[in-house]
Amino acid sequence: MHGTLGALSGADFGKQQTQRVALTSESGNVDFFTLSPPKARTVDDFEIPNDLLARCAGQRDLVRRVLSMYVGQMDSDIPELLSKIKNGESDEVAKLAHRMKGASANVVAEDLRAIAADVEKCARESQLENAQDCVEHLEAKWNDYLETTRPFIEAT
Amino acid sequence: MRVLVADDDPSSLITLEAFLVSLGYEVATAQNGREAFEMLQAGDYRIVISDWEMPELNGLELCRRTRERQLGSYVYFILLTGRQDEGDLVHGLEAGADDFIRKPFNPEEMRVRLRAADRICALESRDIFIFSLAKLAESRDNDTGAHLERIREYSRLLAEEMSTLDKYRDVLNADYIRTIYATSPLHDIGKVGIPDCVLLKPGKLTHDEFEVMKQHTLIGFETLQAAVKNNPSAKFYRFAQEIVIAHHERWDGNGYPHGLSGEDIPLCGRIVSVADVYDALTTKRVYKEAFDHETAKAIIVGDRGAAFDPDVVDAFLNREEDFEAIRTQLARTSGETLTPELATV
Repeated sequence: MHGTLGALSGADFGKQQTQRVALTSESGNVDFFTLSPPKARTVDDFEIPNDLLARCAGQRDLVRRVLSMYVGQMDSDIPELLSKIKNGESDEVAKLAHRMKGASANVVAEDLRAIAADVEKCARESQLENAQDCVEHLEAKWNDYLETTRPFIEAT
Repeated sequence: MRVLVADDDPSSLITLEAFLVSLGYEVATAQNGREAFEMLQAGDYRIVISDWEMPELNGLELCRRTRERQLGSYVYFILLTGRQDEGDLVHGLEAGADDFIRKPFNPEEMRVRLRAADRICALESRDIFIFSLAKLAESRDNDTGAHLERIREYSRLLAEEMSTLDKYRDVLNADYIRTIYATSPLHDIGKVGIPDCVLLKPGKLTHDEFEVMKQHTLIGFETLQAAVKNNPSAKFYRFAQEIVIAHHERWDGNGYPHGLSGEDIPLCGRIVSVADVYDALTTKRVYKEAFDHETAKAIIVGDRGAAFDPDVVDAFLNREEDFEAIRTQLARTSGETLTPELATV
């Protein structure tokens, strides 16, 4: 069904539990839908990747520690990466992106790994403008990742 | 077994550390190559697993420095890398790495590669044990000093030189050379069964005393027979037996204990025979003073084709400078009496 949906934004979901929206079809019919905001992520929403669990010898608490360290490190690495790009330090950007790539691969954060690999490649080719674009993409993906993993990391 | 893990990513480091601990290893960690190298020099690590890209000193350079320094026991070096370039494999091997594992590590792959590392380290432990055993057998004879160290070096040199000949190219491979190096110190292990009155007699042996001394080849052979029986597939022990029983045979058949001649004498016995005689001639013994290199050389060349295999004597002549260098170096190390020519060097 094609049509126009009443404008929605993420901010709307933040303020309301549900929202009633109108969808107008090409034929002119109007249908009403009730949309519920996404539920807050919980511990149960995070599925530990099998490879990570195997590398952690099956220990969930260790997985939690590893992810906690990963998150802490990435939280500091991303701004550092942007700073080094701004200063034109191609070699340093490449080294840092390489480490972030490895760390992301270890926790099976494949999207983040792939972007870090792109940043590394751009830096090695001295294309820092492209690297900058990649980092902005990385930041967006990072926020998604945090949202998913934080409940698990903070669970006791 | 102690393992040193080096990685600049903290989360990867604790993952690998915990995995290795779960396999029963004792693990220490370093966050950069410089720290890892300092720990290697201070501690006793048999295995190193190192990331390639690290600050201060990368994994490749850490490996190179590890190989350049004598750190006592052999260090099995595994490079852990996310690098994709095929050329990196060559660079890593050139730097002295023993193995590579791609990041992030696969647990089962890590497990089996560590088992390979354990086997290599165990081999070195075996060689150390064997050398210690040979040293114990030699310990009654105060005159021999670094005899065993020289014997294995001389034997290795001869085997290496002969491996360049077409006739021996297939036989004298790297494995053979390693084995002769490790087992040649056992050549006189049978002397534990020879009484002091014969073994340590300062003068010439009588006919009967010499007959007693000759028994050391058979005693040594029997001593190793238990090891051969318990490990029928271990060629290592059979190889050692061949050296023990054959190193006093003569090319012309006038040797002992069995009077074998020519190529019926095991090659390893023919090689160790020249190594042993050269060392006996050039070191002080209870029954003689040390001869200089030229005198020893003349004696050996004089017996080419009589006591000694001509090919082995030719190999000795081709490498005589290396023989002299080893003789000097190990004599000084052990504080032995040098011949007049060496005393002035």
